[in-house]
Amino acid sequence: MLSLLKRYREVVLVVVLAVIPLGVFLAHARHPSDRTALDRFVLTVTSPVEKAIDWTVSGALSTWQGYVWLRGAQDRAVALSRRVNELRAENAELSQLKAENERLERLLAFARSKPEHRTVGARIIGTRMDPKGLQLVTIDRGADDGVRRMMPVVTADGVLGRVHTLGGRSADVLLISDRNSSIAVRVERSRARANVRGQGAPGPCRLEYALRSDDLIEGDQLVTSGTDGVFPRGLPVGQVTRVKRGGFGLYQAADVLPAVDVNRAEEVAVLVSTEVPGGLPAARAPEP
Amino acid sequence: MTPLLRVPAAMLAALLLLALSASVTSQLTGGAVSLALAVPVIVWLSLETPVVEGAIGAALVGVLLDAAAGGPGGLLTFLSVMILLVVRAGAGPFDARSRLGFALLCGTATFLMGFGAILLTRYVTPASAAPGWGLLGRVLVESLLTAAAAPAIRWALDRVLVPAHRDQPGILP
Repeated sequence: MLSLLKRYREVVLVVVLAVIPLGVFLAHARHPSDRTALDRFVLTVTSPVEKAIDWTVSGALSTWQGYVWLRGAQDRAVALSRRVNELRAENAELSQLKAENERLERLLAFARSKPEHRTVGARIIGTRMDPKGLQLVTIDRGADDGVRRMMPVVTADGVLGRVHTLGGRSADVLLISDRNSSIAVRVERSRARANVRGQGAPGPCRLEYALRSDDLIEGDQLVTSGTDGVFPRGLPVGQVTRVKRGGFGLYQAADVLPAVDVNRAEEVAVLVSTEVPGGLPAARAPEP
Repeated sequence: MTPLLRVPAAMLAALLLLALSASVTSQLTGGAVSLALAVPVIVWLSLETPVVEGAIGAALVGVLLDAAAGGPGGLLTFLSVMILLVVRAGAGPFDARSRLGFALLCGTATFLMGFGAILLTRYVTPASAAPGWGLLGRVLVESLLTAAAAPAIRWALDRVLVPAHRDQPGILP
């Protein structure tokens, strides 16, 4: 027997090399519930080896694909780079649209929160903000759209200014920061009255005519009082940042940070009809 | 080259050819057809090495094929050893070392391997999930393409692996 085995050992080896993989295959193929103890033993023994071989072969194939077979890789890289640039541009455009949408939503919410005012939406199409002179922006709505002189112009954050000069399809808005702008306000907390005047430059405005005896502290919110015949009451104007109370005099002064950043405003609403308490006209245009 | 080096070298060659066939087929045909460039290595081992060395080499190439195919382990290993035996048995009547003979053997071996894989998988798989015989058309195309590429692979293997001297064809040494 031994001599027979010795004589045919090579044949035996070849048969073993064929039969073992077939056994492994059949053990794999059987449904788990039908597996015998031998099947489970075979799978237990061969699984780690198979995993190691799989890991090696897949690693070798990925190395080949990633480092050796790079045919067409440059073309793909160029095409992908171009696509990335397109997507970046598209993304920037979408971001702008999203931001604009958010601003418009806020403006719409502001307009809806004040049903007593009829508004006309407008977009700022030009600016003239001389650091030491006129503070104007141009909007794309004018007399043809029902806009009139002295009408209040607001954003969702609060007062931006009032209509100054009119064209058919556009209008200039005198900003809150202009020296000629003076808005009657109230301190929201203490209801004290005062005026907010621009200083001729984008940035802080000045609180005037606040009685020395009035309760005014830093951080106080200012809203329109509705007593100037231009702005209806209750629109946010700004926040008191620094109170200056001298040793004498009737009034105290303060710096006011406007509620609207005039440099960043893009979409605005013109209040074309307002119901001012006391039956005053909504917008009283002075004689030119 | 000693048998100790020839078998690992054959494995490396098979791995390289596996990677090459995957790249070529996916790039040129988008995976519509496949190539079995590792099968000529098994045929070459059948023709140019002693039976034990060839069987070990064929089994190891089969292990690589199993790993690359991702199917149940053992199927292609078994078929590789069977292909080796069939080629050794069938190569006697004609000049298998000629280009045409080698290409014919590689084409036939590829077809038999595909056919055997379908047959065995159908045998162990439930009828609803079993591969259809329609795959034989794909196997036939794969065999023809592999046969076409076989002479070039043989040329390379002859130079890299260096054939052992074997006088008699057949299964028994």
